[in-house]
Amino acid sequence: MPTENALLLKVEGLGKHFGGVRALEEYNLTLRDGELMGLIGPNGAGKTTVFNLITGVIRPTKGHVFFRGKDITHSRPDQNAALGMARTFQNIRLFKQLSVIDNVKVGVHMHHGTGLWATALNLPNLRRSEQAIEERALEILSAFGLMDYKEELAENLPYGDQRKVELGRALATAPRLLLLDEPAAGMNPQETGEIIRLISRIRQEYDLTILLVEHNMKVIMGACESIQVIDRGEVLCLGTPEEIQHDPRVIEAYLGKPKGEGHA
Amino acid sequence: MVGYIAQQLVNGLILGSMYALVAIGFTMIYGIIRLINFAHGDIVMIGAFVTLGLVISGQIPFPVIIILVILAGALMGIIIERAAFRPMRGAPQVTGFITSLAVSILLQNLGILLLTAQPRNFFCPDYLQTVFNLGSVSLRTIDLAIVVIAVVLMVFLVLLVRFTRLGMAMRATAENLKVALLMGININRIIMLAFAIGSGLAGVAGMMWGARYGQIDPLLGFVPGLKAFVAAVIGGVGSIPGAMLGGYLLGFAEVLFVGLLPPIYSSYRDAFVFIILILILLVLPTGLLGRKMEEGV
Repeated sequence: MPTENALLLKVEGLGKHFGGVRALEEYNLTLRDGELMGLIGPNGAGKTTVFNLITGVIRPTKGHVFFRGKDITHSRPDQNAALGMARTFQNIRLFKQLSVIDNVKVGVHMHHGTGLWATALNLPNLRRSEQAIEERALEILSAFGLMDYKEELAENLPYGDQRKVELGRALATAPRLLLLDEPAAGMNPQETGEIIRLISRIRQEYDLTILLVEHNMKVIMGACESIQVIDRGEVLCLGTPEEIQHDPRVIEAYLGKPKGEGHA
Repeated sequence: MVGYIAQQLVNGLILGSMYALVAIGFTMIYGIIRLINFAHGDIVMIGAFVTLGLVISGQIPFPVIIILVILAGALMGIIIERAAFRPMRGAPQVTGFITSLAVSILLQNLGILLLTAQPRNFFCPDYLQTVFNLGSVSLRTIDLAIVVIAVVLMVFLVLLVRFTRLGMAMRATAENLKVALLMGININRIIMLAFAIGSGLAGVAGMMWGARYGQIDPLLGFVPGLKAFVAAVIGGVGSIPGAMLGGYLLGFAEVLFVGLLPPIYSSYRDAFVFIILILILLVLPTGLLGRKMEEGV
């Protein structure tokens, strides 16, 4: 059971105010090793803000984030990436002008350094690590069925495959925690099914802990063991897909109060 | 006549090499942090004075001087980035632009304060002044050196950016700084490096400038800075091969304009340069090799 596993991510009392707008208030989250949790909520609930705060893209107004036992509340995104955190974006953000394989290699490179001096001096170990990067990138591409496209510019790929490249690039950083922001957005049912299978496969193969934001309920209900619902910057509830589907607070947040009660 | 044109083409090659070297730094810095760096031309001035100082100070071999000038330029670039531009990171583009004007004015006046505004003769060792003739084209050793050094450095840079991991990190950062950060790239280092490489090349261009024109003063950076800006825009801002192409095109165009038209028009050379710029931008708004601009994040 996930509860027996070690703590990976702990978010305590996180708050973010943009001027007078309280995007997030008293947000808590606990993720254990190997867990796959869904994060849902109506538009503007604060889901993307949660992602941005955890990865360090923006700084919280208050609260703390602990990752692998370290306080990373004030860490930069590249430091968090080095600790084992990776994410994908709601609107795909590939390096469009780089080839597919280079996109993945950028992810791998972190564990080998950019090698300023090694590059300048063309040291022999450079070639070896260059080869290791290449091999790792190819491994990921073949796992994702993207080998045919490897020299193609990322922007020339079909939408669904761009999503896969983005996922592959995130995996290339060898993360412990993967944050997926609407991985099935804009996909047709067949592609959606494919992405669900891909997520559960990589989760097994790479021992990942995943936090998943998604509007597609088929994905959320099908893939996640537990789901956290947030609304207007606050946690509404946490439970299994079953529980969430029948929770009146959730139904209210999404659909509003039933007519009879509303005016009672 | 053929000999005359050949001579002009060689002159264009020399001038173009210098423009290209300065334009590369311009385009690299713009490509990575979207900064129009008007202080870039002043690195050329610093390179020229550092060269002069090294030449006067004693019997330093020419290749060592080249390396020291590159390092001096790179160091200046790093200092400027750290002191002036890093604190402005994330500010609107206009702020960076104005900061660069301030840095430019500061460097020019610092130069005047320390070195006086008096133009100095650029002392060039005899072995660099040797004239030799190739058919009807006459060349000095330094002219040849300018072209060779420029081409070697540019080839080296293109290989670095195309084929190394560092180059890949630079390309990724140039395309999307925030995503690069999320991929674990230390963008501070990449930005510093862009300044170091760009300014190192501008420093060498300063050495060439002095050797070519024989006189230097603290305000000399303005012209190469402006021309490099034009070259970078012609080539497509953000594209390194574009900057090279733009630099050479500009060099050839300028020399041929002055060389082939009646002498009374030669004082319009700068007007001519800007006419070329306008014409190219009318047809290709993003320059010759520029890509369609897209806003990152």
